[in-house]
Amino acid sequence: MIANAKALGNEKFRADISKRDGYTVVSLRGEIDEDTAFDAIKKAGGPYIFNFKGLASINSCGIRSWVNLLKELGTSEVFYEECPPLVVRQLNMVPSFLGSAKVLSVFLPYVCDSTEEEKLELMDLRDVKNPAAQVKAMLPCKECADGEIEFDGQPAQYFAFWR
Amino acid sequence: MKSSAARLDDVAGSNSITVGGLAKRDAAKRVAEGCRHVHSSPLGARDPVAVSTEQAIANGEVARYPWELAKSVTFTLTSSDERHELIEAILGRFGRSWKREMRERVRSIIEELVTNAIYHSYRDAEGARRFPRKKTARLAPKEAVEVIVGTGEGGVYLSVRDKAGNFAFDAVSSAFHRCYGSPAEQIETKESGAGLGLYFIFEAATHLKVVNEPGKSAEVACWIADKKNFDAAVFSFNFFERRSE
Repeated sequence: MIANAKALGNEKFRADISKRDGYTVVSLRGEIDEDTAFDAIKKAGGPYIFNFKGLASINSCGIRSWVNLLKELGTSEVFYEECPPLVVRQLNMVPSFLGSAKVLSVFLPYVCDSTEEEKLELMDLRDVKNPAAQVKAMLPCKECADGEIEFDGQPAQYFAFWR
Repeated sequence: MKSSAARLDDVAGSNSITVGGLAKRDAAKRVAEGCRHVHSSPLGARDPVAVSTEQAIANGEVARYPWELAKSVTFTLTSSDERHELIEAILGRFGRSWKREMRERVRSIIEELVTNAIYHSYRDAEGARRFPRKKTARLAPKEAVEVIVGTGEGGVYLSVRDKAGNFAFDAVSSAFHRCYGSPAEQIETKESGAGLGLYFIFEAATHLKVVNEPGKSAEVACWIADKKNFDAAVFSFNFFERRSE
């Protein structure tokens, strides 16, 4: 259930804050960089679910700001959901970007083998022990009559952050 | 791929070239240890890029690579704020035919290269950085940063050149040492930046080349292979210092 949604941020970045089943859900949109302020997020209080679906980019200073935010959230439980490939890349390159947060779901990149169009398929990671082993190399394409989509990458590399 | 680097030429000291089948982490370790030229390719020392590098070093020149001949467009910036508009302009002009990952890599590399060029390069008379990271930096027209974007067969070429020439090899070696070392020490706390930019660029690029001419200019250029031409075992890092005549 989503209630009391409010949008906070600047012209490059927006955080829509709402409540769902006792969690503060923060939907992040736009760019995270050195100008991004997270005061409203801290004020909202945890436990938190950060939704990354709308995040367009995060630069190196943005990574640092995010890691500092995680430190400031202290003992609050933190979950990440709907992480697109650009966020998964950061999870793999900068372990402190994840910190002690748990990842609930990620988008998997696929490419249609007949049209070469790119697709993102959401993978729910709750109750999953080894996500790399459960990535389907091929899936039916929802838009092509006989086509298939192929996983665009190496599952083990994509889930290197998983522990 | 198994790391089995073979040092071809150790006589020239810091200009030695390491060639072999390497993982990026292993290559970064070599750079952190002081090696300015690292090539990874299944062809080993016969790789054409490694051969070009070796010849250039022997001749005391800066190597030129095939991707630098890609059809390109040059942009100039005199303010840090212009980078957002520049990135959108580049993605709008060239990015329509690129895959999502290429667009994300180009966005990230230009962001990191341009902010590095503006905020880290320009110094005052005492050698301190002229621009605090959280403020808009404005350069004089003669200091303008040049950004070159080239599209060639199999990938994208990017180059960012400042007019300061303060890019020391130590900056790369220490960044690689930190970023590929303990995760707890990856991120710097200094005001000027998080110290992750070069790491991100090295990870995203296929070939990375730095040319520093002290007091004159520094250029960081890279080639990003597209999906069809990407091979994780093929990459290079080269740092050249050009001495003024």
